[in-house]
Amino acid sequence: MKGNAYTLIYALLLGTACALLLTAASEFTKPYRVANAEAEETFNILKVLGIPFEEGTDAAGLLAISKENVKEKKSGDVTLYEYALAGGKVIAVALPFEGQGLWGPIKGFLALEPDMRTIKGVTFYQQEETPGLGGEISTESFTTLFSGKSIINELGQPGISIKAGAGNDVNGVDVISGATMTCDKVQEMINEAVVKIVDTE
Amino acid sequence: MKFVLKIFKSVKPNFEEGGKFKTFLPLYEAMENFCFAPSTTTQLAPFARDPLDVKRFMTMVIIALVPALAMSYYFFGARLIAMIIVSYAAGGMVEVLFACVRKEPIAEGFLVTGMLFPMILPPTLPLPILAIGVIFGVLIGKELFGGTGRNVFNPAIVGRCFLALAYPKAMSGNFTTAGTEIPGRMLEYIHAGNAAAHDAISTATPLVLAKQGEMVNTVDMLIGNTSGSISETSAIAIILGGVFLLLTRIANWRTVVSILAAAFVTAAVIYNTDTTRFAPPMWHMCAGGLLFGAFFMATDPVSSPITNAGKWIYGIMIGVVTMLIRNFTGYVEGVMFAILLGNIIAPILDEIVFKIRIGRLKSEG
Amino acid sequence: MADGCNSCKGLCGGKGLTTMKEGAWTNNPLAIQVLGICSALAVTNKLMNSLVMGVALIFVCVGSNLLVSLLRKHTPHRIRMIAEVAIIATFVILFDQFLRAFYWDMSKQLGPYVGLIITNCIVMGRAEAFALQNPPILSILDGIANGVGYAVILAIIGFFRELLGTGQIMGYEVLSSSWYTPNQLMVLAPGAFIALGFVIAVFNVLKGPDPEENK
Repeated sequence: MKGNAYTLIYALLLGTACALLLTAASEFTKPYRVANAEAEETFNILKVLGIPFEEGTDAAGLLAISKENVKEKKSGDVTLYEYALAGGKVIAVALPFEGQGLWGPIKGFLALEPDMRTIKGVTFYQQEETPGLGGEISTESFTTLFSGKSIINELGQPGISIKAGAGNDVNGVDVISGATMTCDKVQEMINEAVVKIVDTE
Repeated sequence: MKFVLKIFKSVKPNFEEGGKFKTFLPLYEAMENFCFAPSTTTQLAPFARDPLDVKRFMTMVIIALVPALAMSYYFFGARLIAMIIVSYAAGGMVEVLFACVRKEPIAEGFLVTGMLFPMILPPTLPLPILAIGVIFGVLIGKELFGGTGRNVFNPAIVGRCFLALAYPKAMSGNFTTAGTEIPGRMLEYIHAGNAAAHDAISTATPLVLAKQGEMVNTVDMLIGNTSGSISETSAIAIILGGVFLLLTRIANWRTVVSILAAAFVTAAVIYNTDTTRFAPPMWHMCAGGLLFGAFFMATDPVSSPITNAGKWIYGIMIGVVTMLIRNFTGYVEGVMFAILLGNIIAPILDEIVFKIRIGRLKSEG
Repeated sequence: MADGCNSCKGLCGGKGLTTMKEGAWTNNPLAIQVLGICSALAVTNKLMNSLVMGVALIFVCVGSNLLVSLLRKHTPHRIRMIAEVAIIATFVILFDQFLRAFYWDMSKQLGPYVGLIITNCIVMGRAEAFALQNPPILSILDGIANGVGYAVILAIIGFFRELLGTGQIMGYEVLSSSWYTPNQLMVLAPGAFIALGFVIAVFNVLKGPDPEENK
């Protein structure tokens, strides 16, 4: 039988070899991975702000576009992403929101027109709602309903409402039938974010 | 009648050994048995100790369903008949197929499943989806386990559960309002609503409304004048048929009483923790499919426990789980899941009861 | 195929063909042994995901089988399992890093399941049961066969889940949404259980009754 010393040396050698190989691989892929993670967030901000970019733009390209057009701005404790043209004209502002959905966390961005009252668009980039019901929140047929809606109601109170038959209200969006619970939660988390920016003004 | 009998006799040789349609013998036998009393009694009785044969057993259940069916027809109209026909046709097809493959006579068990299945569905559910549901329920819920009498789960509930998970939109967006003014919807055929669009006729059931803080009147739910699955709305009609089942001893009273009592007590406890947030127990008793499930679904002799002690535990579990799901989860109705859970543990409960009894007998010598 | 088999015959003294057949067919890791179903259930909601997962497993299985087999005469017996896990983990992490760097979207969709190949019973089982006792080339063949056996079943499940669950194949609409209502259950994990059940049933019918069971 092979001795203890041999076992120890074998383990050391194998361990070192594996570790070296993995470190090398990790170092080699690191810049790509970091860029991918950043691009992920950038992609969602660009999309909700309506900044044009070509389909399939790679990570570096997205970051470059974002650097050119998007400015981070603090408003209270909320980070806002402002889309401004070279001359300083603001086109849209994105505001992150998140909260607990029916089954898991929901995260997204709400984009507002420069008046900070009208919704330009909304995206949900993370959600685990029931496919076919609550999961429909990330489909375009639902997100487009938000465009042009106001974040304050007729009485001037901040907040949107997602309810059955609310589609005609200034701050209302029609509920997805069969997904009332998810819609309630979405309404809650968007309003939480909306209140913050309306208050800080 | 003699004329029909003559026809049966004349075509019979074709189905016997050596005949052209030998494979379809089960189909022939089913037709013959359906029209005339069978010459032999069935070997596969649901209870070993029950003197009823399967066929009479099934007939009794159908009779007990009549009040609920009548009310459903009044409130939701002629579409119910179309749904029952599709259910029998699609599910019957699977039965015939398996009977032919297994070379066994067609079991009568499907008579009840085929009737119960459409009764627990939304009134305007598209018919193809209904057909998929009943095929799944019979195929996976029953035939793959070995056919009538060997199924672990209630096939109708398996089918409904499959539809609820597979077609959530169709299953939650096809509830319509019940016809309120005389003659109800008796002369109507409501067309399947398009669940994807924000349909005018689709409404929320009392349980959904309750989650939004809107309470439907208990009296309406007692009569059945609310939206819901076709035959679950009218509490009175269900109780009427259910009591008939209990009196004829087709359904075991222990199961029914334990489910309803456990559900009532659980609902009462939950209600008293926060009366503003939860619905009162009486309301819960009449809402949704609890009564229908307790009388017609959970009492299925094949998928419920055989022992009396087992029945009590089984019933209590179903009642408690139903109320927990209704009040504390994202689902609005829990009867379906509760009964499936009950079905899973039913054989285990029986085994435990048997073991304890055998242990006692041994210790007594 | 015929060519490949002849050369394995030459190389491994006739064992190559049996090894291949065992791994991919008569002793298929998923359909017969029902191993590694955790990942099979989790990632098969789309055909593309299933294919990438299959490739990952083939890569890891071949790589680890080869290394374990090369080192088999030098590995001290009492630490052999730890050595196997270290080798497997190395290959898995390599593949994971590669995906994260160059196929970010795919990596996100597969989530933790690429990393979880480390604990996949198929890979560990082949290293322990086969590579430790057999020469390198035969071990590679065994790795390929088992990996392919897994990948094919995964692809079949992925194909049906994507088709029935979304009406699409590889993201292209096959069943028109104008008349086909997607079956949402097939997208969820329980749908994978049902699909796997059917695949195993069909597999058993095709393979015929197990001669050992009738003894």
